[in-house]
Amino acid sequence: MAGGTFFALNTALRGLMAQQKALQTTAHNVANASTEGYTRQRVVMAATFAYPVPSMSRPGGQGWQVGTGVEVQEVRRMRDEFLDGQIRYETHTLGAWEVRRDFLQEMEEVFAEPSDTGLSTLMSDFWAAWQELAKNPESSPVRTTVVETSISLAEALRHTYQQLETIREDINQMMEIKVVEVNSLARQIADLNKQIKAIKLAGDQPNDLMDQRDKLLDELAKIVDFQVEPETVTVNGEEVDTGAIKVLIDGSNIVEVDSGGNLVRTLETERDGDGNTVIKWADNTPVTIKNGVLKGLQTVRDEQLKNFTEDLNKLAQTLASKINEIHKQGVDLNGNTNYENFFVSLDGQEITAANIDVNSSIREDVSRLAAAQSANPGDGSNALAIAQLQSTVIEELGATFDNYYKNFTARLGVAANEADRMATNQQSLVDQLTNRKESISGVSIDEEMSYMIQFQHAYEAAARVMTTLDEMLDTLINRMAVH
Amino acid sequence: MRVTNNMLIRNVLTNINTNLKAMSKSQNQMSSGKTVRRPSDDPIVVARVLSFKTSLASMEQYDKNLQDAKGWVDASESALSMATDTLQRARELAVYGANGTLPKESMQALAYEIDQLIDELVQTANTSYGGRFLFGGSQTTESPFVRSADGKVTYRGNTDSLEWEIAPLVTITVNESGEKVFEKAVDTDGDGQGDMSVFTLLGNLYQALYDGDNTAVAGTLDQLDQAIDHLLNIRASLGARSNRLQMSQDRVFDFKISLTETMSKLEDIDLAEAVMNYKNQENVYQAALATAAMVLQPTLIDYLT
Repeated sequence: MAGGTFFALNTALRGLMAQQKALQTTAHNVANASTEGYTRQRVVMAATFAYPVPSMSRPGGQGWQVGTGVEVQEVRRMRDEFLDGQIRYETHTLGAWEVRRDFLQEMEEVFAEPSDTGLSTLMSDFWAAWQELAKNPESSPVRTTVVETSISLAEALRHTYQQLETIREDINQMMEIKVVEVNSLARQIADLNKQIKAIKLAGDQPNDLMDQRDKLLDELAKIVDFQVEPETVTVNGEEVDTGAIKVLIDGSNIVEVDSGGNLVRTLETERDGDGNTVIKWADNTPVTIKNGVLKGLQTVRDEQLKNFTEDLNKLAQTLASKINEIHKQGVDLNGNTNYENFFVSLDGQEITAANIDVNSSIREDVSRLAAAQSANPGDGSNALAIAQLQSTVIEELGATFDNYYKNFTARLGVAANEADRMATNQQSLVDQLTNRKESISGVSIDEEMSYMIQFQHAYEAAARVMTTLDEMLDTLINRMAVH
Repeated sequence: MRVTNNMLIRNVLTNINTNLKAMSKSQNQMSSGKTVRRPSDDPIVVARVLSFKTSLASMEQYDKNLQDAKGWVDASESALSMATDTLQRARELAVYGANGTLPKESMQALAYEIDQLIDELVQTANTSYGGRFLFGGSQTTESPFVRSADGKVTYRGNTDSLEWEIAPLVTITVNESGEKVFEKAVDTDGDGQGDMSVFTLLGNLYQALYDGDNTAVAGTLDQLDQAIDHLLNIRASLGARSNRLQMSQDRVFDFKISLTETMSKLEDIDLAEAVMNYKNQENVYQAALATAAMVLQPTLIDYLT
């Protein structure tokens, strides 16, 4: 036997050890079958270098090659990094549409149309009250109805405005929380980077740490858009991967640490003059976020929410000014002319949906409502002029009051509908990609069981080889007695 | 494609979730009776429903206005019908008095009845409807005609017309002012414009009868005819207006029905269809659950000894 009597024992031992390691990996896979973010691992076995038996009779002085067994080259993470990038890219968009959908739906609930309690019903009641007043200008109950429905309308406008403001504050707070989350994720990724680098340097595969890091990147992907680049060092003029990664937001690496272990680039928030959250780098330089939850929040706040708040204000403001204009020219039940405003603002500022209210002197004394254009009690012509505003196209709004309001509820509906559709589509896209990832990286119990049997048998076989060698040695040593 | 246990579970969960969502939507529709709840469910349908709702609300109001206007016009018409009767009676008395054969006492008795008729006419002219005087113009809170102690009747109302809206930006005058009806009833100077009040006319008649002046009594007959014609003309115009209001009301009624119908088609569910859909979804959901139970259970472990 070339290579010595005990040579094969060693080969069999290598087999035992390799199969044991493979079984260990199988156990690890099965144990983590439902761990989120876990990537299945596979031992890569390869035959060890063959032993060349020296020979004088062969050219080059080398004899035949004797196999020396097996070794585990690496425990490989079965993962498609290109797919990771795709999933993260689509997840940015998913995050952006999801928050847009959530907040637009919340805004829809604020306007609560169509319903019997929404602004559109209150506006109908409001016009109807003026019509009744035009017919019954001398009636005190009818006057009271006009004032009360007007108060309801003003309160509903204020309430709607207040709810939109609450949504704005929610968005601002959510942005602040998400920025804190980004920094915390960056901190954790930086820590993992450090550990991974150390293990790689020792020549090992930090598979489970890399899984953890990938999971954190997936979480981050929903919040903000970023680019991942491998960190490399140049050794002997060659670029070598250190195992660490750079996470770039708007071109800046957020996981970079200084010598003290502190993050170099972190995001911060502050409030601008309107009370809106602004995101910037900690050193006060601006940052551009293009996608993800943070971008979605910005868009919904600065576009939809802002537009609808402005539209609501414009409605309240125009309604008040048109009615005041006519009301001022009227005469009240006591024959007083040169009349005051019907709608006033609560805080003395320009009238908006935030501060619209019915003039308190009219609330206290409904006879001060200027329904007439002459000093006669039966004259409802001024009330009629106001009631007819309902069917008049208002130049400032480009539509009647009712249609203007309807148009903007419809626009809100279209926006919410679009966001919902986009979020659903994006979700199924991400689901599909995740399925593909799962197809590559997920643990299949059936597969692991099959491998388990394979490794078990291989282990048994290696053990059998060992027993056989043992018997051979027994024969050689104990039975071959010197006669 | 390599299929793992997690993929199976994830797919089953996604599908069950989708089915549940569809079921929840159907349940919502069935319990609310509406196909849409918020604008985002179907922006176009909701926009149309909203505008139908506004139209319907304003139609309700116009319907009310028409009803009130018709009430006012009909009340005016019946008051004028009474006034015509009064004038007819006065004319009968004038014909009597113009005869010239009556003794002075009888003439005076006629004059007293005329005096009563004046009171009656003032009362008619002061008819109120829903607490408001019909013939005072926009002066609706105090009686427009007053008879003073000397028998003179004065008009305290004005000539304002009361305009009510009966369709978008369309108004109708519901009242006839007392001045037009009673004050300018007789044209004495032949210029086509009334310039004498029926009360003055009856006052003159009273005076003539009281004085026993046959010629003067006969002189009022022509003017009485004029006054009666004048009232009949106004009554004809009121009647025409009442018809017009009735027709508008019918139209509004039809419009309201067709609006309600269209709106119902848009936003109300077809219950049969909804229930069918729901049953279908329920079956799919049950099947998904059953499949999940079958698919997720076995692995190779079940067969290894």
